[in-house]
Amino acid sequence: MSNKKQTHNRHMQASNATVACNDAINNKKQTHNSHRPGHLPLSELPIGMRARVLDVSGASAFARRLMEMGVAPGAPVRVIKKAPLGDPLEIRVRNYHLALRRTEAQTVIVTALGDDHQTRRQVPTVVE
Amino acid sequence: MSTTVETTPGLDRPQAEPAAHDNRPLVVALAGNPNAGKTSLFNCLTGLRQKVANYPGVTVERKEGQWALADDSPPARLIDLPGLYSLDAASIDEQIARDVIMGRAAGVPAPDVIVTVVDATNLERNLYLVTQLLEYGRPVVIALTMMDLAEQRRFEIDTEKLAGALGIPVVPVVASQRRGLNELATAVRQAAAHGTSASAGWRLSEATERELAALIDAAGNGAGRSAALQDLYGEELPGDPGRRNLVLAARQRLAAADPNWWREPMLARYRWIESIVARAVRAPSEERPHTTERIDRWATHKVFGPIILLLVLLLVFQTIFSWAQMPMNLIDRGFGTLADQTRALLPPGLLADLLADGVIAGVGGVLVFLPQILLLFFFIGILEDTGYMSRAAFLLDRLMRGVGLHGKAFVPLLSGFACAIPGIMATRTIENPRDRLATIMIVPFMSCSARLPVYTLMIAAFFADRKLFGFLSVGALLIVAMYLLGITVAVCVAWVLKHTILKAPPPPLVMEMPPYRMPNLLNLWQTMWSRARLFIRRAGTVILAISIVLWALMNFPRSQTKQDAPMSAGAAQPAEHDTARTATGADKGAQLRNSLAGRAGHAIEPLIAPLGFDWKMGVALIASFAAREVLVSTLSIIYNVGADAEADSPSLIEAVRNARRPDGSPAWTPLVAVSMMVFFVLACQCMSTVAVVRRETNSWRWPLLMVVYMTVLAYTASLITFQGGRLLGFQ
Repeated sequence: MSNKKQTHNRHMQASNATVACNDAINNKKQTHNSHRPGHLPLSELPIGMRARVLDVSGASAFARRLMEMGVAPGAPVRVIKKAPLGDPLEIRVRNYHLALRRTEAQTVIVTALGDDHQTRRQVPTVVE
Repeated sequence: MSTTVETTPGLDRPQAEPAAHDNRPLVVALAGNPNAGKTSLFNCLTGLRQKVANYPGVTVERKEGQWALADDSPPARLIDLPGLYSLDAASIDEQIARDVIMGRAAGVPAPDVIVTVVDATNLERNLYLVTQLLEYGRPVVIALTMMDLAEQRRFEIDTEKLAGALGIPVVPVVASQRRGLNELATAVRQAAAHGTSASAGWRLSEATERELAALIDAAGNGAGRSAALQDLYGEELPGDPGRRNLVLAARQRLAAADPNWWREPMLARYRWIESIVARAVRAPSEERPHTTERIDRWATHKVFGPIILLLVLLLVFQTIFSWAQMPMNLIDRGFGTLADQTRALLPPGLLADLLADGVIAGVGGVLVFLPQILLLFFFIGILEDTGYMSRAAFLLDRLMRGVGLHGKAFVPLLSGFACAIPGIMATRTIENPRDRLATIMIVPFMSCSARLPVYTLMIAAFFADRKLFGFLSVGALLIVAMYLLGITVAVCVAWVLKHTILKAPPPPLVMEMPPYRMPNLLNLWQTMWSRARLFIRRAGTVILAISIVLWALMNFPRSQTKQDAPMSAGAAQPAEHDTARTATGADKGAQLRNSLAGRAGHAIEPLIAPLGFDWKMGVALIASFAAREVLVSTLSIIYNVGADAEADSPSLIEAVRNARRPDGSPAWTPLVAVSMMVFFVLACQCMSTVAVVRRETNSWRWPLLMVVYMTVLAYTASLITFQGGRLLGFQ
């Protein structure tokens, strides 16, 4: 984990000061309600919360494909929902939707930006 | 970061002179992300139709059409590239596309202009491919689609600013209303006349640019920046040893400075794109959930999602079987009448036999499935076009992964219920070759429509009107059981393959979930039509030939010439003596026993007797290895019901029920029928499937393995069914 951090820290191009609050990873609730930024894998990002991609770890062909598809450092990202069996995840990145497995979402490190109440509704209430 | 300064005119393209003025037609390549509307635009520009679908990557075959650019010049050759996200050649599609663009694809000249389709609602990701296309130095023109959708979502896109920032023309088009097509043609002609395009405006760090420049210099063959980038960052090293060492040394220097050196171009491209989009696009301050998200609240819901998926599949299959019934009966009766007419018109003899029993019965027995196949392609087309197919893959991925497969394998497997051939071709969207192979190997277990007549015949003959607990139709239960048997075996085989010869970690899933769209009925109709043509052509060629050969095998050597006729005794020579002969039923029986097919059937009888089959069934089995549906027509030839070759014809059913073994016991029993059905679920009895697997895997190893292991499985399962059934006291 800390290894990944170091690589992405090195890689981040002169970007935000969010790097500081690493301890927020272990406290999702805090990140959830406050707008305090924290780093966490995309697989741990609460549904509906806005975030920004910090890093995609690994040098596999898969990491390359993810970045080509727009899941690259700096991209806005949000988890829309989980599939019925908990896997894969549907995420929204650069204004389009992408399905991604949990194990793959773990390789994407994001920094949470805050909640978006509009899109957090999961259970259908009424047909609009 | 200027977009105009670095135009490097025609460094790597000596044929850069405008082709519009000589006689050679312009060559235009059409590139774009999947789901960007590329296929619709292609159809609209050329009038030549192909499949339009929402499931990523369905357009894998290269398509070409004529595009009338202007009245005073010959039409351009428009080459439809596969839908792709990038040109880094991770999948076959991307390799093909890159080869075409670089003029390396066999039979395709290097394109003069590349038209790239860009989805306005998804600009950033779509522009990534554009940044790559620009590096090749060929003129690029953007066709901007989905502008209406972008406006609905309150995105304001300034196309002029976009064009200015990218340095290439941007033409908004609406293919369905034929809007913007003339402007696109004009832009393409101007770009071709100009000959080159602005190179991409993104730059790498100074150190990297130095390495690139050195590589470009060292190449010395005018291969430009694109080639150097490909060498430095591509997954494959250059083949030339000197060049390879240069590249490796450069990579080492870059890696020493930054362990993540390999991602620099990707990040630089996206940064450039972001800066352009920031200038040209005003996004809504607050985004509202659009229609797609509202539909998905239900369609991929934890509880309702799977229920809806199940209902959709049930509805599809239910509709296929009920709607197809009437046209199938019509086709059936039509061929029956045709055979009767033929017999009435021709003098009795070999020619009449050949036409009525061989040609008409054989081809008719296959064409009967046309309605079912058309309906299945219709529904699969709707599921793909609307975008529901990727939701189904999303819902099922976890299950598919359980056996080591990809969620994307769902589409090939579903297509397999219609026919294994389109299913096997649909596996091209699966990037990992091992997963693709595993999927190919199990697609033929899906009960395709060619198995239906076999099931139908067996059930009509032995299980019609039987009920379980007074209300459950035994026939329907058996059909469901056969489908489930195929699926279960497929799952087991996939698991075994993925844990033995195709061992690999579960493949990653990166699948776009495109917005829902209305299916284009015209495109659907055209898809069905092209499928129908393919199917009819197959019935008219392969099946026709097989029918004639089978008929000949069953009729030669003629009985009168006795058994000493050599193998493959000519089809022509005994004919003149026999033309006047009218065969009675008994004659026919003797004829069949002594024919080549009859001898083959006898030869394998000891082998198939434990499955409950006699030598006549052996003949039909051998014949059906060409194509499953041939079983029905062969049985009708064997039992001499000729003209009525269809599965539910009363005369064939009677003939099957009344068929006797030499000792007078019935040849068929319900248990034999079930054993036969089980055999047909699992055996690889389709020459076309074998041919397609050979083509798709590019070797004989996989198709041969497929035939062998499927036949062994079929034999074993059938053996267990028959012997086990007998032990349990069934008949």
